[in-house]
Amino acid sequence: MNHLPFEIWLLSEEPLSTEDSQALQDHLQECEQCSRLREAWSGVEVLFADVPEIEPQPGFVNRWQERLESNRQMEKFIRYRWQSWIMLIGIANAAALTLVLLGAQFLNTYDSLMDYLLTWVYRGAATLTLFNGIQEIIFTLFRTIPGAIPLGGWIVLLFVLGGAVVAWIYSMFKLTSMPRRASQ
Amino acid sequence: VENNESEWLVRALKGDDEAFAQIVESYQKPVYNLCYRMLGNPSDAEDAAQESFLRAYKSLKRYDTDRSFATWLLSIASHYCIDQHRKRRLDTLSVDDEQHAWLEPPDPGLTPEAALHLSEKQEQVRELLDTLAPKDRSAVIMRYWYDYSYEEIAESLVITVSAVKSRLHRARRELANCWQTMQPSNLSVDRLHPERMQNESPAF
Repeated sequence: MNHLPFEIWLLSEEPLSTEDSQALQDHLQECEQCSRLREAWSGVEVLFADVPEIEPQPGFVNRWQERLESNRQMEKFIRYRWQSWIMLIGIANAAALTLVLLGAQFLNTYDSLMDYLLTWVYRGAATLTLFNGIQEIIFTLFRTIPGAIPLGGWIVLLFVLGGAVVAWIYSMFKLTSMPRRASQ
Repeated sequence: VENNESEWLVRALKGDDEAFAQIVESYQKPVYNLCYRMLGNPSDAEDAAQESFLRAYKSLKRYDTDRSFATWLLSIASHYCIDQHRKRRLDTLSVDDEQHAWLEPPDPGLTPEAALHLSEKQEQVRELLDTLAPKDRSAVIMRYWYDYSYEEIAESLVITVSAVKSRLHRARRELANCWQTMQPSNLSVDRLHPERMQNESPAF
């Protein structure tokens, strides 16, 4: 038996012509399969019409407002993170640019890396020569000064230095033996 | 309500959050119901409904005022739920329903017997809708819970009118088949609404 047009008609919402409606009724009289389909679809339609709309739990709007606020905070956080990344990338780029500029300056000042190294070797050698000169001056003074002072001068100098040492020891003894004030 | 809606929309478009909260208040029930029918459990429905309103809020400037706001909003909810179905297929983790028990739909104030009867029917609806593909399910919900025309469903789901007719026809066939397999646990149609048996389909 061919059920195809009848099944389509049964499940269609389009209105049928009188002839088609009659043909469908005649078919349903003798076709159990289509009758079951008709009854099943009717059952579904009745069930759908019978169940009410489902409501959310009370406080839905408040929960939505909280969600909106939380979403805004999250967006702000993401925006700040992006801004931080952009800033970091900017700083890195600026540092790289500075290095490039310094490198260019370096290349302009010195024709090559060897020139740069030689300059520092010259500067180091000049510093060592300076220290050597100072050392020579000090040694010369130590060699010439003792011969220039007479014996009497040395004795006076010894007494002055000895007196100064005794005075220093005495003052230190007096300072350490003074009674301490009670702390407030 | 429509005048209020227009006023709320104008204010919401100017950045008034309270006005949009009024819109959420008015449409929470249809949006939640759509999400519940699409996803089948209260926790996912709550999340989807909240997210749908959030998406609507964010894309409010793109809303064409010549269109129905309800259609536009339900379209957003519908697409979100269809996406959730796609994700579910990839995500094998199950949600702990007991954790979200507080989100169960509120008791409509029925007697225990009536509440049980209603709960059984809701479960049957869920089982029936579960047999459908997400887009077909969305079309069925819009047609049978919101009385949307084919054109409105087509606009919401971004498909042609003939595709809507085709999807609805296929869905009815599947629903009828599923109903037959659910028998005899189902309630008899004759017992529920004997008067509807006379003329329940435009075909008769």
